[in-house]
Amino acid sequence: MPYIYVKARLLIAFSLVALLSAACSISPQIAQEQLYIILSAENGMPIIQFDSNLSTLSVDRQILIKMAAAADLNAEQWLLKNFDKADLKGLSEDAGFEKLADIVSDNDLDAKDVYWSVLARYISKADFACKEPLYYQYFQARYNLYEKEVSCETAIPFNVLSRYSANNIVYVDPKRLRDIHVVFASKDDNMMSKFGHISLRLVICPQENSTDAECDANLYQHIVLGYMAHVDDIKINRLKGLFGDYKAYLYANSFMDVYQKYTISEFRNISSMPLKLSQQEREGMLRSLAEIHWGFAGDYKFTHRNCSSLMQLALSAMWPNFSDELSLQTLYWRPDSFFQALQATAIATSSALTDLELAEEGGFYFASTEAIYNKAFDVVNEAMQDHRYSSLSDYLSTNPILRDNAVQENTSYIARLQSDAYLLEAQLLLEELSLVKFESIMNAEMGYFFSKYGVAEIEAHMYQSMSSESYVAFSECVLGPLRERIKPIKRRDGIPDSLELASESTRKSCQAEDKAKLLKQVNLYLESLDPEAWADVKTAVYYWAEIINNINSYKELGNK
Amino acid sequence: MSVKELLKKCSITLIFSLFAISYASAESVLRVKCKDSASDAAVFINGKSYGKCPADIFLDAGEISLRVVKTVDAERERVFETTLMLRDNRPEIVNVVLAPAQLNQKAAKVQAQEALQKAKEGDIAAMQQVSDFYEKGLGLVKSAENAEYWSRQAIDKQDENAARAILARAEAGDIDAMAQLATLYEQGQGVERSEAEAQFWQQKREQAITVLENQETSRVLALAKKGDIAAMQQMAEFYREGKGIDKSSEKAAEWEAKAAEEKVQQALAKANQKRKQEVEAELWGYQSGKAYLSGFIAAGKMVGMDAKAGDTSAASSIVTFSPTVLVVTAVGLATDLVSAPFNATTHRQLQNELNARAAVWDKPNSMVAKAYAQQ
Repeated sequence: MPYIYVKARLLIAFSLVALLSAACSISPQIAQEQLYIILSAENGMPIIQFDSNLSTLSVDRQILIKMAAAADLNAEQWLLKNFDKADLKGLSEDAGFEKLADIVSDNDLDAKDVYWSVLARYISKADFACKEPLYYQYFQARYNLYEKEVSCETAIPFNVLSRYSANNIVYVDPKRLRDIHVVFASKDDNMMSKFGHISLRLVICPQENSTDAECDANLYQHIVLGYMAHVDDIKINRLKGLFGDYKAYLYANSFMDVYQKYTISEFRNISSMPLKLSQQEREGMLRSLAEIHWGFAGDYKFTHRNCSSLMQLALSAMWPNFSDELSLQTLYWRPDSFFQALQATAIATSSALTDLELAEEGGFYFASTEAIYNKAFDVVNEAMQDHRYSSLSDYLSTNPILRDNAVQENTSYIARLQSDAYLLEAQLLLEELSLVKFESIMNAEMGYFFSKYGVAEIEAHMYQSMSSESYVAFSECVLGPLRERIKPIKRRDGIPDSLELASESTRKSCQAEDKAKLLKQVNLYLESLDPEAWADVKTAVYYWAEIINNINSYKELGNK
Repeated sequence: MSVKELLKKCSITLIFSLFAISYASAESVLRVKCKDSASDAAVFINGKSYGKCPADIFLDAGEISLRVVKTVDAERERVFETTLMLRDNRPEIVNVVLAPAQLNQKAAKVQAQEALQKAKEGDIAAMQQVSDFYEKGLGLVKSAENAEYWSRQAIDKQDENAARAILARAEAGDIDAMAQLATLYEQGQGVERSEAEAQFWQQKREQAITVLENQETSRVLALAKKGDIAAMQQMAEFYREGKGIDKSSEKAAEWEAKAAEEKVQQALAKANQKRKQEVEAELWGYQSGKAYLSGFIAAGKMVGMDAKAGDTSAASSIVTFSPTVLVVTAVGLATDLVSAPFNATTHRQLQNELNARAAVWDKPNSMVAKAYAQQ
């Protein structure tokens, strides 16, 4: 609110008080309650004040900025420093705030502290509405400080988990967001995923004006947002996972990574049901999801604060229609139950999943690939003539070197691979499945090695053993990403802007040839730490590389 | 006194008697002594026969020319020749030692005529022979001048022939012959002295060298491009010296750098190959049988490895345990084990194909297949 306007209002108020006190002998304190000053400058000029109903807050920004500058602080810092001097009537956290903070901010922080810091940003930051839309909604409803809507930076960043780097920032243009789906991965035999897993899929189009079909087929750019627990160590502690000692975050993953994990690696089905959102609601939800993605950290309790219940709470906070349909009185902690409940509402297009064949063609259902790999196995085993393998798992558990030897020795089979594209694809399918399965083993072997000694101990050993050049490469390319992944995830006050993220980007290129050379030396030094344990890692990496060699060599056959 | 001693005494007495006689008549006596091989050789003094050797010959004092000849066969004879001065009343003794067999005058004459004929026809060996005959007076009237003439003729003819051969080689493109020919023309050796011809052949040689160097440069360049380190170093040398190519120290440095890099690469490839073999040897135990995967599982290090051998973490459905960092690590550590160039980009491409292959293969109408086609 403009300073002059505030001043005028004050003058009018004081005049009224003077008139009333003269006429009706009413004490001036009553009149002051009507224009309630929260915080004033040293000269008595009000900086923040409420209207008489405590429903509209007004701020004299000029004075605020002057005061902050005089104290060598920015406005937000000055407010936080001076709130304790303020008369805070009408300004405090309430149940609504606590509920919201529970799903938006770091749960380790005290709700009162969170309230003051968010309030300080609400009052002082011009881009607060863009960076913290959920809090903005809440504060604006309560205090109505801003009269105009703020235009926000178009692209919204997400840190999408990547297999190749710890930080992989992807910017999503709201105009290219065509749909948001609720994604359900079918249940598994594992105890903790017995009831499946739930998340959201951002259906991002190749272009703003792409057709729906093009957007649906743009799977390689789709992003999946789901609550998962952050493992703060190299290895997962199953008990910690069960009893909620891991922190939960709203993670972003590439859809195709999720697809591989569920349908190929674990042979599970994925259902993807569109939510009925207007364009405005979609954009709003996108921004809110980003706010949670960058700011939220909460305890992950398997029984009542897991992927399902947290998603329900988040949807409820982001989307009024959702709250209307699914009351929070029933908190779904089972993903399958939550998904079923959603299917029964009018806010989701459950018809997309009525016919699974059509759903698979339309991008609403992604079936487990188990049947296809089994079929590929039958095709390969038949073509090799001697029925070498008894089953798909027999094939996968055969040494990749022996597998390849069997192929290379069978000249008629090689000839068939060269001429029969269908057979070649089947052969590649089997090797690629083997790669997916073995990558997990290799990771586990590496995880075992690193956790056996601890990152810090390994780092110390390497520091002592290696040349400084090799050590830097090791630290940047091997330990760096590891540390980056297991360290506590930095929580932010809302969505960071591109400048902020760019300034933090310290990613080093570890693909450069000189780095690759140095990394080879790392092998030797790690080996010197524990030759026996490292031999297992080396063996795993060796087989992993052999499988890749098999794949490359069969692809070559197709090119001949 | 023995017979031998008696004979010796008589012989001495006889010689002294002869000397005495010789002295008394103011003549000189020449005793020509021949050993076994020379006995019966004909003795000639100043061309006049004096019988056979050995012989005591009374002669007037003065210079005489003694020739002792022993016939070997129809064409050859062994000769001893000397001149000596006989003084009054002083006997002289000559011990004849015959020279090795040589042509007799008659045969020499025939041969000399034949050689002369051939020499005149241009036979170099005959020329040399004729020169010899003249020098020794064998079959021809002794003549140092003629001997010199024919010797010169032989040398000239030799030079001419050599020059002709060199010319033939030079015309055939022999660079060394061109250089020799230029020198011959400069010196007029075997050819008529000619500065112009010398220059012509010198230029021709330089042109031929340039052509050859160009060819060599092309050949070396082709090898260098194929990765031949020696050829790369050779290219650097060519550029440094401007051989068959324009001189350029920058390009010389470039090739040197390429050679050094290739050296490193080849050494690396060799080391990688060696390392792979070592790893293979190390892993031999794992390669036997089909239990490699179960070997890992049995090691008990897999976290929650289930029967499907897929999910390494039972908790992975609710917790994040992205393989990201470990894949990055593996990429770094496995670069020397993977045959194809391997980096995050190729691995990402591999993953993209992998993710879609099942759908593309068996469900071409599925959205995943469409997505793969569209991306």
